[in-house]
Amino acid sequence: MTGQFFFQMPSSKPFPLLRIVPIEQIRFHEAPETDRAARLVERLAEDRHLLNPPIVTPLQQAQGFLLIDGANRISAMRLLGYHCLPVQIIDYDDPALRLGSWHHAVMRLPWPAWIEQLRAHGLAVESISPEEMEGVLATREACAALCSVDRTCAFIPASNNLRADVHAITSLIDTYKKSHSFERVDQTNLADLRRFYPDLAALVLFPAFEKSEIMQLVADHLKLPTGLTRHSIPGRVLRVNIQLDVLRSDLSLEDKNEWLEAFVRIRVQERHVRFYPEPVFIFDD
Amino acid sequence: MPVQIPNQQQVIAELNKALGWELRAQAMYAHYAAYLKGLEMLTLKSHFEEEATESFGHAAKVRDIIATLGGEAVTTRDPAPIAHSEDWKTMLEEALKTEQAAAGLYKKILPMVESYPPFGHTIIHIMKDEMDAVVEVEALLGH
Repeated sequence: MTGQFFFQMPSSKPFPLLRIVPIEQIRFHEAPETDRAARLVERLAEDRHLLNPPIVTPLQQAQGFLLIDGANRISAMRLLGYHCLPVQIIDYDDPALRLGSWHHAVMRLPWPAWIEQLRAHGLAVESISPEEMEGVLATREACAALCSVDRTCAFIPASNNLRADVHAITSLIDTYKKSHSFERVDQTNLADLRRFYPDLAALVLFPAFEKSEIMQLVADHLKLPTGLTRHSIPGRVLRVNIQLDVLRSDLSLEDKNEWLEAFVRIRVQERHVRFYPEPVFIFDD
Repeated sequence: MPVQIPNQQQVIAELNKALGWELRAQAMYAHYAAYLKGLEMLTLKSHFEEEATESFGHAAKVRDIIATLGGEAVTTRDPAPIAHSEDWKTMLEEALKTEQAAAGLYKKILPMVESYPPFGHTIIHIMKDEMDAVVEVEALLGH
């Protein structure tokens, strides 16, 4: 077969590139969550199908791939003993691919005691007005901004050093990630959030990283805590549902990719592949 | 008027190899299904019978392509001997070799017929079936 094939979709969008690659070639910019990976292990072992392929991009300065999305899926596959898995390969320089941040809505956190705890962990915490929060994040003066439900706000100054900032963010999240429940959220309106999360105690906001910083993290062997970077990926492939037995088989990697190519072509021929140009809501994620 | 594609005679020759291999696979699976014993008969008999049926279906599709290309389809199976065995593991090992070889044949044919999509679609389906069969037999063998 051709080894590089693109189908032209009716929308003229180039068809996504799917490949089976060795897991060892994929490098993380986020530390996976062991709890979520463990839950996935159970599901994958039972289903024996991988629903959504992780998303990677070729590394610029080294061989292999940078993982954009799917740290827990890859960790679960590794725990199950797989050495390779299907991924969607994207162009990280695509201007339509945007990088933002998730924020954390933390429940039942006692604000004054928490601020003291942060300082005890060696983090500088400075007061700020609610109106100034957006600004210090946008200018990257802060590596995190904090706001209680009664709108008492503070920020942790950035150091202009990526390693130090990653360390500060990791220390900050460590103070609540195991002791308090929290949710990743993409909005910052406290009143709206409280409707969904009645126990909301504090909102932790993070700045948007640059793509070049993500590449730098990997080059420096640094990892952000999981669930912080939020890649908005155009043309994300969902519901591929690939059987795991193929990945486990004795077929060579080249043959596994031949199989994947045949699988994809048949799905297209049988009109099972649909492109949605508009944003969609998925109710069984 | 036969459909014309590049390297017509070479394609027909390769398709005839695949057809002969399918006819051999049919005979092999039917033979093994008859010689299964004990508990393995419960699980493997239907598997072998299904594989024989699948080979019959593949042979029909390949024969149709050969006919459309104006070629003469072979009527006898590939001469590679079918090892007689009453041991289920040996049967599966022989099945694995057969499916691997079949996948290899179709892998070779696919780029030769891709310029004519109806043939390309048929061959890619068959090739994936053969690769799925390899994976399935490997799993049955506990690889």
